[in-house]
Amino acid sequence: MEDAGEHYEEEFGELAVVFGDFHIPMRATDIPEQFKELILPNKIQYVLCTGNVGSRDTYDWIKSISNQCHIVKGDFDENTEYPEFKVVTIGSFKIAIIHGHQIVPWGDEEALHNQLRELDADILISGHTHDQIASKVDKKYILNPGTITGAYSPLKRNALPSFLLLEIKDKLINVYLYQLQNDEIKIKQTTITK
Amino acid sequence: MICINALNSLDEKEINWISEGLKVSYSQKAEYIYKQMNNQSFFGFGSSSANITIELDGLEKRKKTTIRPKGQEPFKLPVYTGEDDISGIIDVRIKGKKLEHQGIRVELVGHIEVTYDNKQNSDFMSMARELEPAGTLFEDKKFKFLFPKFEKTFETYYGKSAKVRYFLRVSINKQYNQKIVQTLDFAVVLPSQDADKIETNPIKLEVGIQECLHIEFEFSKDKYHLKDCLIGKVHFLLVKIRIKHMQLQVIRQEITLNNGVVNKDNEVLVDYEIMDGCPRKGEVIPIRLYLSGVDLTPSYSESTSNKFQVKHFINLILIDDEGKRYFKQQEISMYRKK
Amino acid sequence: MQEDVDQERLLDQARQKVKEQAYFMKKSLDQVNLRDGLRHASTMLEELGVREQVQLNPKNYYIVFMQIFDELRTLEQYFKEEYRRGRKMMDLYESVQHATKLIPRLYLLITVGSVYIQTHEVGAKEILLDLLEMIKAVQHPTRGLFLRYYFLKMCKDRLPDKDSEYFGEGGDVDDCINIITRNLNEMNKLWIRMSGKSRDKPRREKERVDLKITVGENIHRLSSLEGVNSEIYQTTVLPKLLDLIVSSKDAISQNYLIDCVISCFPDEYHLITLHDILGVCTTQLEPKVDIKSIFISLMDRLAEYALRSEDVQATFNSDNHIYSMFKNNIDNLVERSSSTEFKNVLDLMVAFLKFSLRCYSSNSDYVNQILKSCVKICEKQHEQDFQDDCLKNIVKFLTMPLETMSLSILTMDEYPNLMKYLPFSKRRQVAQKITQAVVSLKRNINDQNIAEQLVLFIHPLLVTEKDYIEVSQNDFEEEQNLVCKMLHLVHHDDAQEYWNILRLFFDNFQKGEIKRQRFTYPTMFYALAKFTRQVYEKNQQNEVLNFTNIFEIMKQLIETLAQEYHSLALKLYIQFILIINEFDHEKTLDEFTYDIATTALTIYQDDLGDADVKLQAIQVISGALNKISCLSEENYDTLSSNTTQYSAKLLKKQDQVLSILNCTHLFHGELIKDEESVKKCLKKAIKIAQTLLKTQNKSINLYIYILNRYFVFWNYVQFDVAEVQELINTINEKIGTLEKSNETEALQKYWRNTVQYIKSKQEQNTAGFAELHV
Repeated sequence: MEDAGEHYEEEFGELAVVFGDFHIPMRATDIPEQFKELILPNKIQYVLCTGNVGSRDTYDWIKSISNQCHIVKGDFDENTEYPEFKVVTIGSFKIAIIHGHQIVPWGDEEALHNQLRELDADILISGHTHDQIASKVDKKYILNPGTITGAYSPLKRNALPSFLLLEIKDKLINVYLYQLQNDEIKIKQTTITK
Repeated sequence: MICINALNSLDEKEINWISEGLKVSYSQKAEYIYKQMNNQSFFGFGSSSANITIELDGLEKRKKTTIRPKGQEPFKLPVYTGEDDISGIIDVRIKGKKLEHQGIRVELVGHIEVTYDNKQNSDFMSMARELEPAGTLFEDKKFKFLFPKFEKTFETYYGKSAKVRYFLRVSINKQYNQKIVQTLDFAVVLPSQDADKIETNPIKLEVGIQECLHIEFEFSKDKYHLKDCLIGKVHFLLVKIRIKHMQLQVIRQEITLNNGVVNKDNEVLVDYEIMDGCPRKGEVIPIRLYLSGVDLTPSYSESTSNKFQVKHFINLILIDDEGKRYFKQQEISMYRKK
Repeated sequence: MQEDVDQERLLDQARQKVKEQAYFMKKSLDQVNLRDGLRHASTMLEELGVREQVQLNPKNYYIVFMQIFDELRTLEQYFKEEYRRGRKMMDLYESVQHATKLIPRLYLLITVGSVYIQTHEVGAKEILLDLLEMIKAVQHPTRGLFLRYYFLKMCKDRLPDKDSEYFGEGGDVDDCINIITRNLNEMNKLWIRMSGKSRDKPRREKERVDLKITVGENIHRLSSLEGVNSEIYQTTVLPKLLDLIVSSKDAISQNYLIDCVISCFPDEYHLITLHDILGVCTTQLEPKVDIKSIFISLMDRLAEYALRSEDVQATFNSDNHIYSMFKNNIDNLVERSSSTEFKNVLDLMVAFLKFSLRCYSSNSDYVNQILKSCVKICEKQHEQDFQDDCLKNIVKFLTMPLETMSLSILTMDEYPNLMKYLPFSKRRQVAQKITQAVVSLKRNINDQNIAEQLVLFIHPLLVTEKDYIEVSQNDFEEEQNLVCKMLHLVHHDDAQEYWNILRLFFDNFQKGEIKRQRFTYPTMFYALAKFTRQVYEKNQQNEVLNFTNIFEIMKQLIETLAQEYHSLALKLYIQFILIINEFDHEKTLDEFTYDIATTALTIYQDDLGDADVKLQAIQVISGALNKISCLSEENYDTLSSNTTQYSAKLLKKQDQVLSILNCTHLFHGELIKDEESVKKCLKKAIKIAQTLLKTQNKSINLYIYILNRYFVFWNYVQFDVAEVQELINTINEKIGTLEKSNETEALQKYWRNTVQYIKSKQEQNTAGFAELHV
């Protein structure tokens, strides 16, 4: 049985949920129920949030998920104590989180790559564009969870509610891309390796 | 076998006194009397003395009844009913070489005693058999006797102020009006001949205190046999006093004449709680008393004896929360059933 | 106090005596001495009988009773053995009746009777009826109740119930019912007597309540009879019970017994007999009976029942008379209630509402009727009657239907009538709950009438009403956030309908002050943006509903906010430009857009003080302008050059460089690709960096930033390689000279990463990289 325990560790690794651009209530009513049912307290080890949270109750929800919450400040977050960016090491990965409005041109791959270099990270997580992305550039990875509420953005027409779930193992991360299309959850998967 | 040892007694009261004074069981008592007789010689008149023993036939098979005289230890007597003969053997054992006598006889006596008035004492019946004409006995001798279907007028009764006794008395008459006497009590019970035909009437009475208490009680019968069950009920029609409880008593009243004065002696035979608490208007409380648990005798009406009467009453008593008692007596009569 | 001590002492004595006598009883029985056994049992039982002076209070009496109850089991067992040894039960039954003391006699009689029944020598019914008759002798309330309770306990399994061994010869179900109801009737009479009329009535009534379960046991017994089915219940049991209850004319008893009936018998029975029970409750009980509580518990039970089973739910829905039965009886009851019972009446109505919501979850008309009744009740009350408890209930009327009916409550016209009886804080609470419900439901608000009702209901959240009371900032924020969340639910496929609803909210938002608009306006702004997108996508523009008009309103919204909330207004203006950009491909709104942008820049220039805020603002402005294509080149030029100038005027040189680097994108965005200006911009950045580098080596970081920015443009702009090489050289030259610190370490890492990047580009043979040396 003890072996099984270790086996479990090996098999599943640690989980991190990645989301942002809630814009509650300015642009959206709530996180979709389907997502709320997935993202439950004490199931996920890390929360990586790209900002623009909005209302206090949403912050409370985020903080209820895990006690390892990493939140950065979005352009519409006011008076928060949250930093502009954050670099977190999970397993052997160095992950940088930033909202993304600071990186001009917004969503530009080169600009984001530049940011990766500056922050000296393996993975850059940013939001702002409301466009879910997981891409690899030169052995580095750029992730964007999109908007978890499907909030309006002039930059992206009909943004769908989306977030990412990372399953982080020693040398490997499974990235699950969750998206809500017509009330149905669609999941795509990709893998990040060191 | 019950053997009653005779006592050379002159006075029957003496026997009564002895049985009154001794709190011992019946068989012990017999033994005791026997010892008394041997040790004491004050009854003995010189050599001319004898022991008399009366032995009844078939005693083992005969029913016994327990007599419970007031304030005395109960004792058992053999029971004879209407058609029974009484027979037995009288054993005379002489003390010394011979016994001169004026005749030996056995009597069957029915006797009424009224405690407060000796004059009232009388034999209501007496039958005698000569056993031996006057002469001299040189040895012990046994005599058979028989009183066939003797007349039984009354039932044996041991009350507080009156008794009806039946006994056999053997006497050896001697000179100078001296006697050697031995008696043996037995009991007579007389079930009513036609108990089935006894007509009973229900008792129904309304009693009360104006504006205060109004009850109606009902008993199914006015005549009961000794093992009967007293069934009745009490209706509360008006209750303005705070009743605490209700009791039912069965009272035996002995009525005797004492120097021409009527003397009534009440004895509560049973005191039976029949209600606890205060009923409201309209309640009906049941009464059921099994008389077999009560030590009863049949009633004696005036017509059966002019010496005394035994009446029975049921007494309904209500007690309020201040301890005041309200009661109503109602006569019933008791009879014996076969 | 003295009384308590006495009671304690009495209880101790009694218990001791019972223990002692029980011991002797058992000893005698062990020696097969029934006579002595009975004698000791009798003496033991005298502890339950009459006492000379002080009586045990009912609680202590119960303790002694239970002790004796246990001891009597031994005796009962012994009676059974006696029977097996050949003893005639009839004799035994008679002989215990010789006991002259009443209480011991009756307890013994019941005990023998129980065994007698088990022998089947005489029918159960006969013995039970005899016992029932004999125990009438006890008229004392406490003693009588316990004796009869003992009777009930002993006859529990000896009734000639259906499927029982005593059924048939021993009687039938009717007999069981008769026996128990007779006993109930007698017990009830005794129980009622406990109250008495004396001075210590309160104490006696308390003692009385202590004993209620003994009486209720009868009903429990009835309910557990196998032979009682719903039909027998309806035709026999309930009529008997109701008759008995009504004729007792005692409020405490009626209250308790009705409660017992409701809680003991199954709900399906209540359902079929509802008419009878309600009728009796409203018309035949004593005035002091708390009929409302009875109704409440009945409704609660039926509602639970309806929830448990779908079949029942169907019965409720097919038989509308269940609702109307309650309705009629409750109205009747309310009619007769005095105004002092306001709270109780409201409690009743709340329960009725709950019932209705559970059993008729889709019938909003029922709810409205109940609300109407409540309004009537409230009309009769004085202002001072509206105490907190009552208000809480009124809040419940208004909020409970939300949980199950949600938006259909908005069709109930009685809502506002009832709401006006609440003070501001409660109205606010209700409004908030309604809003919460609407938000939780997440269903679209697409009906103008409903929207109008909604606005009416949540009015306390929208404007500052006369009796407004300030709430804490957090609460206020939460409340306004709710309103905002709700607004996003507005939707309609038809543009005009959609617009009308939005407009309705907007009109109301306008009446709220700036402190509300701080929340509602940005939300309205985005709601309008979404609306615009629909109009655009579905091509729903018309004379009134066109971008110009919509954008005018959006502009107004920001203008209002701009008076107080500069940073927010600025961000929204920038968003606004992006929104317009989404639709205005023809640049028809060029001047309008330009105007917005200049307003934003004016705010930047005039109203922002904090350096960090300014830096962020200029980041956003440059980020946005980079995406813009809906301006004329001329206007765009003005904006981009102004923005660049503002960047160069930032307080810190470092910030100037970073900001100018962002501004480089203003010249290579959606609208223009002006390579020269990009180069110029980068050179300007280098120039500022150079001046800084003269004084501090660590400013070399800016060179790294600038170098990397070249790479961002690398694919689009043809740079002079020598110029780039010079940057690399300068960096290489200075980087080694830096003192060690966290800051320089990060810098060195950035540089290492940059070098690696260049090398990998060289490996990939990316154009232009080959000539670079690192």
